[in-house]
Amino acid sequence: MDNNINKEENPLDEARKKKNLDIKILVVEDDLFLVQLLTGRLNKEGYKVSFVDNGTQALKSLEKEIPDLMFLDIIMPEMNGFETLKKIRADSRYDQMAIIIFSNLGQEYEIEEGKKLGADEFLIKANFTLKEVVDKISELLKKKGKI
Amino acid sequence: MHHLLEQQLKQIFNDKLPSSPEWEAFLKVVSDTYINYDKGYELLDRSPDIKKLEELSHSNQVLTKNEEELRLENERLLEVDKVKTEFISVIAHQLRTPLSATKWVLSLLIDEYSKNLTSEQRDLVKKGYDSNDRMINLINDMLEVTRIESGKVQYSLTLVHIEDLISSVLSDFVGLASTRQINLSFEKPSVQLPFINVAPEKIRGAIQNLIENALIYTKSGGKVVIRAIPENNMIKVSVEDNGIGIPEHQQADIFNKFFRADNAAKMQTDGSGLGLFISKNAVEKHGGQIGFESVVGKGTTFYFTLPIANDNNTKS
Repeated sequence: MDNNINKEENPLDEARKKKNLDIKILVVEDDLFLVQLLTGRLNKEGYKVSFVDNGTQALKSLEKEIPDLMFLDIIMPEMNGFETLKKIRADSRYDQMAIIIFSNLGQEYEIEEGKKLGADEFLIKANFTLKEVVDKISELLKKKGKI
Repeated sequence: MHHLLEQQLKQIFNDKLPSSPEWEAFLKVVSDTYINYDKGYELLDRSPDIKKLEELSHSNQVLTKNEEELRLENERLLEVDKVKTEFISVIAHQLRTPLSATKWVLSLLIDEYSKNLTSEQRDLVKKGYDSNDRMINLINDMLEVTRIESGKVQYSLTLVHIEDLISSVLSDFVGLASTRQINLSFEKPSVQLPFINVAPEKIRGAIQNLIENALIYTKSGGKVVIRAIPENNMIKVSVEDNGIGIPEHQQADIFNKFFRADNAAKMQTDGSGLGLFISKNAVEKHGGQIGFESVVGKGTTFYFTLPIANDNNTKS
């Protein structure tokens, strides 16, 4: 199936992928099926993707490597997304990292809270297809001067 | 003779009352004393001050009781509010998560594996995607209604161009219009359209809702025309269709939550009756008005107004 898809891709797509190869994305999400779908799609775009399933692990992972962009779920075991975000934004080493909250919460006060704590975007999972998510990523990376 | 005295005498003398003029005179004096006592008590009972004091004391007891009841009720309501917030959070998270997974899988098949599917398979996947999205939209609408009813609405306003907003909604409906074979158009006026200062997603939602209703409740071959006209310091957006119309006796209810007109429910079984309720709230919260004119079998024109942004001249 993959071979077929590759044959049909145009050179522009290939060029975009090469550019994306330098971009590192960390997915922080505890629903493994969503992780599988999201990372699969991001890999296809050429991004270098890794994932952890809670906030504590996310902070540990940041000690080893700082990604260009982080997808952050809110409801997770151990440390939830808001707490994680607060800790990350209090640390100047991570100032350059873009953060997208990617959750199925999304009442106004939750969005406000996320933005206040320093998230660049708040996306409600159920309202976006993966294709639209990919578009949002390139938009944000461009805005942040990363691509 | 005073009835109490009479009773006492009967008890003492066992019904055989002595009789003599002295005795009669004595009893008369005693009886009068009894009667005077009674009068005295009656007077005391009727005394306004005492009555007032008693009333006040009673009111005080009632008030203390009411205060306690209110305090308990308030505690109970706060608890209910907390449970409701948690419940909503559960709905949002637990219901939307599996729907997200389904949406992603189906959209992946449509967007990327489409060429590997037969046209029948593609059609099925598309239909699956659409019904999944209907469920997501319904949950989103329910959450929005809860938010509206909580009264805790705070919009963060952005300056947007009304024409851009309408055009972007229109582009989302090109597909639906063509499958339903309805001529969907946007008649722009000759004058420059203004910027508005709004929560873009809320106004976008209202435009979307009016156009979608027009497309759904108009038969194939019909037309839907969108117009935007500046009027004084307001912009008026209207959506005209030549669809089934709203029965006159149900027109007053059309913005009510969960209400659906009979002919609409007959034509289209899907539909929550929440769209217009949400749209009305969004428009009014921005200082605008929403309304319609409709004739059954001829068509409906919905319109809403919104204030034009103050800083229009500097931006446009």
